[in-house]
Amino acid sequence: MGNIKASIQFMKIELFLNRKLILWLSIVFGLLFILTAKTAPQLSPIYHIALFGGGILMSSAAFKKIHEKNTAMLYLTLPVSTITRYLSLWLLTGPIYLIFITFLYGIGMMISIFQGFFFYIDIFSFSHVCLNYLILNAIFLWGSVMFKKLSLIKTLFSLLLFGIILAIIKGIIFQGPWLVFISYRWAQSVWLALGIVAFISAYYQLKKCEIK
Amino acid sequence: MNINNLHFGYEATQSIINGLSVSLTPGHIVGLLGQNGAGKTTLLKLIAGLCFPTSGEIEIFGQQPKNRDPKFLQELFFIPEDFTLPNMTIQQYAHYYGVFYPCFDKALFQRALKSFELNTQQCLPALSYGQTKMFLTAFALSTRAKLLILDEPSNGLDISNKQVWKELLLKEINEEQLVIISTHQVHDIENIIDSLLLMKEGKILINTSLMELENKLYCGFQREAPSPSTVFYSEKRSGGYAIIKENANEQPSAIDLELLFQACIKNSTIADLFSGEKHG
Repeated sequence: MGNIKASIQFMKIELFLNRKLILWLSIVFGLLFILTAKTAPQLSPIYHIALFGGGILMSSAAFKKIHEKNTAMLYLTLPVSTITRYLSLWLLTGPIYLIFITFLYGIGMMISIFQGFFFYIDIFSFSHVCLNYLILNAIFLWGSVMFKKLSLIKTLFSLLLFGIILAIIKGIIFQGPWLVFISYRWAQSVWLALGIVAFISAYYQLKKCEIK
Repeated sequence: MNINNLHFGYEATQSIINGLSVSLTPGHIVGLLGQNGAGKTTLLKLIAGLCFPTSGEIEIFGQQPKNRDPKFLQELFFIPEDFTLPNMTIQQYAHYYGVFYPCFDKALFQRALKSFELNTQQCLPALSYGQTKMFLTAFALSTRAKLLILDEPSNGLDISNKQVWKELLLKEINEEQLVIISTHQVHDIENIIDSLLLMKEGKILINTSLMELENKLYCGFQREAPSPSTVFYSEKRSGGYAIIKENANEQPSAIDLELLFQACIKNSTIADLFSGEKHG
């Protein structure tokens, strides 16, 4: 079975196993978007909650199976390469979830437009939201592979710790008049780099995962 | 399958597998026996690529299991002692997971399910422990994987299903397949295995064919207590003593695996009879 075919089959299994969760998410967020469409300004906060809240919860649980002995043995001996396994779950919890929530948001927005509300879509800000979501997705996927229990809390704690260490380093290195200029660019670059490192690191952690 | 000087421990200070070496070839059903903590399940996990050796080599079909290459995994099916199956029906499981195995035999799957009196509409989480074992055995056989690893496969099976399980295994395994069965229920594998691996303290104590065992050992029963110097091991049973001794007169006798197991654990000199043998 080729990588793409295996990936599609693997995603089909994940979607099938999580069918109830997907149905509930569709109903809850779909209804929220439709109901708040009357008050257009509230659509955006709901979109952010649905995207970041729901997405982070799903990413944190993505590799739960590898930490439970009773599920891990059959899961890890399934003839799928680590890269296929990893990219399939990244696609589902990252880009596909992003498209899914944006689609629901789009429906809410269309209803709002039909009701006479005016929408101004800031593409730059939207692309920032997407990028930030994908970075967070990579970080929480890393947490899901790394931490056996309470991966969500432990990843949040790791992020906090990382932030504190970074703030200290920044305070020591970048002082003086350059601080304001450097801050924004520096923070953006570090944030992006963190996402990339988490994305790659999660793959290698998954590859060397053992059942003990 | 070649395993050479394998070492493994879950912790740096604790060694489970100590310099284990063994070679196995297709066309055999091998029984893997050993006491609790001898390293049987750990060895199976190492073979399946679920644990990585501390040192030494495992090569199966020209691949190292720790790489978990899909081509290697297509040729392997591992039934663990305990497992949780996904929330779906038997039919859905075969539909979603069967495609990962290029030689998946749907007709065999149906036949096996019928033998175990399971139907495709049954939901996996609703099956009893024994039924899940039967279902996984049916699925494992249907994959036509070249290496089947079964860890305590007969646990939870009732007497009649154990018989069905044995018959199915004997009927459906072909000459290209190697089956390794690890179990404490030695009577369940007595009539199906043709080779024996006996583990003690992370090493292979005996690796030989049943035919060789029968040639070299005699298992019998006598009323009087045997002299310890004449037998490897004896144990008191109702009405007399079960004994195991060297088959000096080449008398035909069926090997009592339970007795042999006890003999090897209590008196390791028995293993000297088979030392140097590399049965396939």
